[in-house]
Amino acid sequence: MKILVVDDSNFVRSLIGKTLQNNVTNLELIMASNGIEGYDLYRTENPDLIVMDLLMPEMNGWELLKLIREVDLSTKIIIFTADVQRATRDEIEEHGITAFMQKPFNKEKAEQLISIIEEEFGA
Amino acid sequence: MLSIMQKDILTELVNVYIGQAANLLSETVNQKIELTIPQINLLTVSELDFSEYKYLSIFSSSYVVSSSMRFGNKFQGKAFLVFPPEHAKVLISVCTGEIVFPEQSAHTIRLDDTDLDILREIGNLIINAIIGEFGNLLNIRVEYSIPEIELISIVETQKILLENDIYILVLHTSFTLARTRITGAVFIALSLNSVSLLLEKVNMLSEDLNG
Repeated sequence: MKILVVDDSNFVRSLIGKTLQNNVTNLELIMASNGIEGYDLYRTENPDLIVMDLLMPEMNGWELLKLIREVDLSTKIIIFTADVQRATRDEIEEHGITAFMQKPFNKEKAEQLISIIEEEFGA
Repeated sequence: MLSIMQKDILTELVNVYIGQAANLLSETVNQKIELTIPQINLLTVSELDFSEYKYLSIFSSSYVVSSSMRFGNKFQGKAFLVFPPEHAKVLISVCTGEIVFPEQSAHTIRLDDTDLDILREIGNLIINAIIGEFGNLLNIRVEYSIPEIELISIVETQKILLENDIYILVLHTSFTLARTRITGAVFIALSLNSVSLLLEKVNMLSEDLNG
């Protein structure tokens, strides 16, 4: 299973990456630090799942999500953000995402992420 | 600047927002965090006096680590989360599970790329938790810039605030994290329009309370 993690924080990418490596079998993990890198990797690697932040330099998560959804409505996308606004969540959910998760990434969120992956992919 | 009722309502709101922010920080470091009751003031930049007693613990070393984010849309300004450098280092150590050296002085503190990355993420969490709730309160979606981390002197802090907006909503609180006392403060510089929006909403809440 191929998962792309897009977050500008190396700390957060490492935490998510470790969780996925310890819990997902046959994992192919790809990392990007902004929306531009994320979009390039999305096009070349065709991941099964994208876990992405919203607030990032160069190209943010909103722009990345819209670009992907213009051509592809099927790739599973999990938004993982510090943004607590209801309006953000409502607007993002209109783009057909699999889940909207609130930072910080901790043990509870790690379990939630794995449980979503198991539900969606049976992995 | 604020009437007693406005200050009371704002303190109550901010109390909840800071509590939620502390909860997020607690989830990050996996430790209980105790808070002092936030003090809140709406001041003009010229009225802001860092030499006041309540800020001494934060500004005692004359330098602070600042994590700041601009926010915009109808509610706009810039929010700063500031820590004494040695406290910032302790906070980072707790996040990474490293050994803490609280005796380090501000002058010997060095922040590497990983430290800056973690401080940026902490700033992102705390500022989003507070400003995002103001967005929810005002029914406005606030957009943010990427957090910036700087080691700045107090003189520079005042200058930076002056470069931004006229009014400063000062929220001051202390965090007690496990056995380590980490003190931080949040400053929010607001545009005149944003202050008006916020006070308009606070006045509406006040009217609702009074029937």
